[in-house]
Amino acid sequence: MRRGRAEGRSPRARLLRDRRAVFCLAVLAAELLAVLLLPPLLGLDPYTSDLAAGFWAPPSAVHPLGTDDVGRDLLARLVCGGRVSLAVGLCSAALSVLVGVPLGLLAGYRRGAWEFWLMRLADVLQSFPSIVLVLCLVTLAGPSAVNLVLVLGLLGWTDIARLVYGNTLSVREQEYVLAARALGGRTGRILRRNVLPNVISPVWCAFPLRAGRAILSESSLSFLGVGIRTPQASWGSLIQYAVSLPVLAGRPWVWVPPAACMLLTVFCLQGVGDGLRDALDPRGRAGQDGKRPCRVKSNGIQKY
Amino acid sequence: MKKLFTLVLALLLALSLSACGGGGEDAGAQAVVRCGLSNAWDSLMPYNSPSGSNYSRIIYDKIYDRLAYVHADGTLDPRGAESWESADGGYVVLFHLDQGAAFHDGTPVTAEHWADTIALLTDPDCPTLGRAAFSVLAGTDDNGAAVEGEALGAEAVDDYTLRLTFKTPTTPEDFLLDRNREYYVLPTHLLEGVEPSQLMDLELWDKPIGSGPCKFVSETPGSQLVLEANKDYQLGAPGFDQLVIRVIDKSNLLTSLIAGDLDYYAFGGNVSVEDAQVAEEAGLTVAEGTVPNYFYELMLNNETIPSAAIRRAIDLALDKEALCLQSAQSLGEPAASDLTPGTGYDSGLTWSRDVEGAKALLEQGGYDGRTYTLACTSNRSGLAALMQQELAEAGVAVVIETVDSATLFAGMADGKYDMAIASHTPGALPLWFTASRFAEGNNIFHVADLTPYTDYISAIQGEADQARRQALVTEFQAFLARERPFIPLWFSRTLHVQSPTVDGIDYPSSTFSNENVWDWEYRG
Repeated sequence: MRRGRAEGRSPRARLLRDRRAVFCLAVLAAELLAVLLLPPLLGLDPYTSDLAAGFWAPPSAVHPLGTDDVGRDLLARLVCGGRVSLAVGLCSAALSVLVGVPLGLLAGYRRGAWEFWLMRLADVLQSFPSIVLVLCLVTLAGPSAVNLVLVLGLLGWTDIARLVYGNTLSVREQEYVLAARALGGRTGRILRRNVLPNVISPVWCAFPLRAGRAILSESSLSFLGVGIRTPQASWGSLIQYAVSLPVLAGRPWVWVPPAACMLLTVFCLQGVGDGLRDALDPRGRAGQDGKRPCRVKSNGIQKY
Repeated sequence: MKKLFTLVLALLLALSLSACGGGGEDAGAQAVVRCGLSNAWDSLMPYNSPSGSNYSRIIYDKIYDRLAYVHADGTLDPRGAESWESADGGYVVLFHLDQGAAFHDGTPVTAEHWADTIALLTDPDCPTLGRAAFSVLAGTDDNGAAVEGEALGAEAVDDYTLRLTFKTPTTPEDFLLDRNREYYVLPTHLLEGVEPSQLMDLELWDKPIGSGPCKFVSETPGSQLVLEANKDYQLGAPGFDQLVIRVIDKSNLLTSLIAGDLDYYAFGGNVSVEDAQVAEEAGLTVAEGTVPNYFYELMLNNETIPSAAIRRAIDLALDKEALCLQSAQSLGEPAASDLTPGTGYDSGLTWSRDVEGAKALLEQGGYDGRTYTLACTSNRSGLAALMQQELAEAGVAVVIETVDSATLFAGMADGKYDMAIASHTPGALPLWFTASRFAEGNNIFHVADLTPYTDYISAIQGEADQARRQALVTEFQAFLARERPFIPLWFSRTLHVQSPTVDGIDYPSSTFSNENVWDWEYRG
């Protein structure tokens, strides 16, 4: 009976019973609210230098996180930098999903030439060291948040497409799909109504993970000096100050907050991704006894 | 606690570096001086450097000999030449060569070697990349190639007297300050029968033989160069057995020195004020430079900013004091001209910020509110951001492009950018900056009419009388201030971290692409 109740719970209910996922969601929501509301509420200006405070000023009442190399308030730059980092992460992940899902569906459902060319293209793109490829493309396109979203988003579709492709291969052979096809349903309608709802769950799990990776990529690129355009800030560009030994050793207040924010965000995105996977897993036992879902390894041994 | 943290970090970096080093050399009982260089040299043939960078020149300085040694303050010491004198109304300079100078194979260096070197490299068939240095000599064209039918301005008067003839009157001091680092003597006795067109392809340049203070031992291209002391060098034997030059990332130079992985790093162990604190906390001595080592300018594209009023407005809008403080901390002074302070030449110009004056000039110049592109290298993005704010105060809109150095200069040359931040090693001559930048072949500021500039430059170059020359320089500087084709920002000195294991290093002069290795003494 208990098993029946657990299976009957909605994914949303299962997600909300996962304390780690809820905590991570709360943190992410708080971060989003902070980066959106704090600048107008506190009047934070990330671009204007306070020459009276000086360059590299330590934390004070006026500048709680001190100032940077040109006297700009580091708290303002941290908050506004977070806006850029989160926007790049979430938008590029969304773009990857928007591109990857249709391509994965097409490759898995139509097979033949679609499958061959799309999957080989994914192979080719995945065979390059991603950071080098992204670095080259961003350098060519020029540094800007929009270009970063485009490059990271358009290069990130392969993982999503493979995920959808694999599931579509299985779903396309299901009886309800065969029936829809036999009844003369159009491909687009079958994909939209019968296939997509049954292959999309893993994508929701992959989305936050993809966003976390995009945030790390943006930070890496900004750290290398090819990310966003000066004087915009991002967490990566703030961490870049740490390449200077005096800053690394003597001014931890400059780089520790953006590093901590990035770490926390990526950790929380991972947590939400895990939570979603557990909640959407139809074989899962989450909610039944509060334990993590059971997964069966290839050797048949159950793993919790 | 901070000191301990710094030391731990330095040690960790050094450990990781030594782990990557693959074991290092077995120095045995030899006195080995380990020197760091943040960029690799691009050739061991001194007249075949595509970049012509100081990183290559500092290597040539060791293997090959130059005529003189240039101190940071512009004074000269004998090197390949013992003395020099002017002749023929300033058109000729006679160099009396040091008779003790010899190539690493034992062959004495004669005036014939110098004359033959110049003849070989000015041969139009010779594919050298360093020929422009000879364009000042008589009998050459603007590119430095010998003109058929004209006598080349380089000849051996006797075994140890070299006669250089110039196109315009040139004092020996002007010539040496301007060109010394581009003139090297080659072992032409080993080049007999070599076609000028084949000169750069010789295996000799893989294991070069020069007459400098160090002999070539081995090279790992782009990574490491091992030299040994030339015990017979005419100015004295260097006080070490081997000099190992390693390419190390700029950010690791100081930490490598602190960790004892390096004895010295070029150029002159330069550090910023902040890094100097780290060095001092680690027990190293830091000395302040005595003469300006850097000149910062804001390059302007006179084609896209055609109004002199707008260019002057940009000059007035910039807070050079704040910019200088941001970049050079307390080691710089805002500049109103490109004349290096302390060299005896004065523009008589002063600088002060005037935002309202800038706004008035913008209106006068018809500024239409367009957004200018300001290019800078990544390490100067903060500086560019500060400039952006200052220009915005006056109403000038600027967008910043962060690019690498090569792209920056290429972009300025192509007219892609409207402005760019650049720095240079200043010279003692009054035209050290302008002469090469207002020329047909290098009109980097895209000035529409170069004539007034070149007229002033020719007049100053041809004037031997000091007082009249100063008057011309003042007039030229006033003209530059009116036209404002570029904006002088500031001159700054540098700090030098003293090597704990090598004595006798002339730190300030190292910045000028020559190092007195014959005076270095390894202390272990």
